[in-house]
Amino acid sequence: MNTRVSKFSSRRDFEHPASSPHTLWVASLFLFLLPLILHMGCASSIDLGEMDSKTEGGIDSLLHEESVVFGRINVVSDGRPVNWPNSTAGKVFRFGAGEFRVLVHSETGSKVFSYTLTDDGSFAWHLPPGNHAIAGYEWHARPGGPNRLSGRIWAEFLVHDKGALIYIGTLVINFLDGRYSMTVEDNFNEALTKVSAEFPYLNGPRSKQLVRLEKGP
Amino acid sequence: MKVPRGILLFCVLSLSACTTFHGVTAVSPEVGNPKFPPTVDSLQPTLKWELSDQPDVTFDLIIYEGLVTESFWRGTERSVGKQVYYREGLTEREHHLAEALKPSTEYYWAVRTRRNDAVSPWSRYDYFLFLGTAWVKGNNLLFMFKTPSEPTAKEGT
Repeated sequence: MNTRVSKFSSRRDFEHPASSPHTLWVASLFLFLLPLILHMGCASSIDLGEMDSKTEGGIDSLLHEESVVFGRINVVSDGRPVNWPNSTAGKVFRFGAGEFRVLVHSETGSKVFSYTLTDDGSFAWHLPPGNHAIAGYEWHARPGGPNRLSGRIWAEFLVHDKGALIYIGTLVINFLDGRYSMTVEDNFNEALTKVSAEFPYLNGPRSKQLVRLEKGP
Repeated sequence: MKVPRGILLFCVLSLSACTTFHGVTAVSPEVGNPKFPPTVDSLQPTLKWELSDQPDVTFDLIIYEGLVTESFWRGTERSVGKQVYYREGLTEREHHLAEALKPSTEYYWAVRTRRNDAVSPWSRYDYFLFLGTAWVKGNNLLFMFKTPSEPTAKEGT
């Protein structure tokens, strides 16, 4: 059963950030360096699916230092949930609904990670203990809309220990009439089934710590 | 040397910047190209703004820390981080921050008007800079500034 748990929701304006035009030589350089770029992109990823080793030993060694945080970011546009491309080609060339990235801010070391949504927006991240926040989003090549939208989210969550599996909820971002609002839902069982199927070697104490949306002044 | 008027006109037209404010207008620090936020001279800067035709309002001020990420293929990316400062019901059109901010850090700020419990949307601005063959464009942006790397002599003591 899905339980809506948010005590409040926030409603905000889009931001259209500063942008510069792409030029032919930048595109050529991009294609030339694509393999290197993809490799570098993976190097700082928090995506559990991009780990080099998803075997039992690989996961175990990861959980000595970090925890796995899982949940879903459900983007709803004009009343319909958006499904995101899950292939590399789909991500690079922004097929369909385009590319939706969230920025995850880790207070430990003040790092910001970027994560691109795939499929229904379910995710499994590996993060060190500490305070973290889903800071904002960027939506590139939105069909029928501006080329790039961005906005603030600031949904905080805590990774309390190493070696844990922490569910942080479904963050629903609802785009409607040129604005967006956010709520948090608890779909723990569904999310656990999904993450267990995808990563069968994930073991560890499970806990639920739903993200906390910032109370606007 | 006399420069032909045509060339002068071309130069003026191809180097034009436009800033449009929604809500209050930022006076100090001045806002402009969001890729180069102005550096204030203190960790406790005084922020100033103006607004015409609304004599009976007070102001709310909010400041967020900026998050800056550098990557090889996306360059410098900025996003709005944690809320670090909020004051409500300010009667003046300027505010000297009561707390020191972090050095060498970018911040976003916005002001809204308040009449009792009714508040306006937070201030925003649009920016467009045309450089002849390239341009910088941003809509619906928060005001920005960057703090200095060191506290001023007065703040340091």
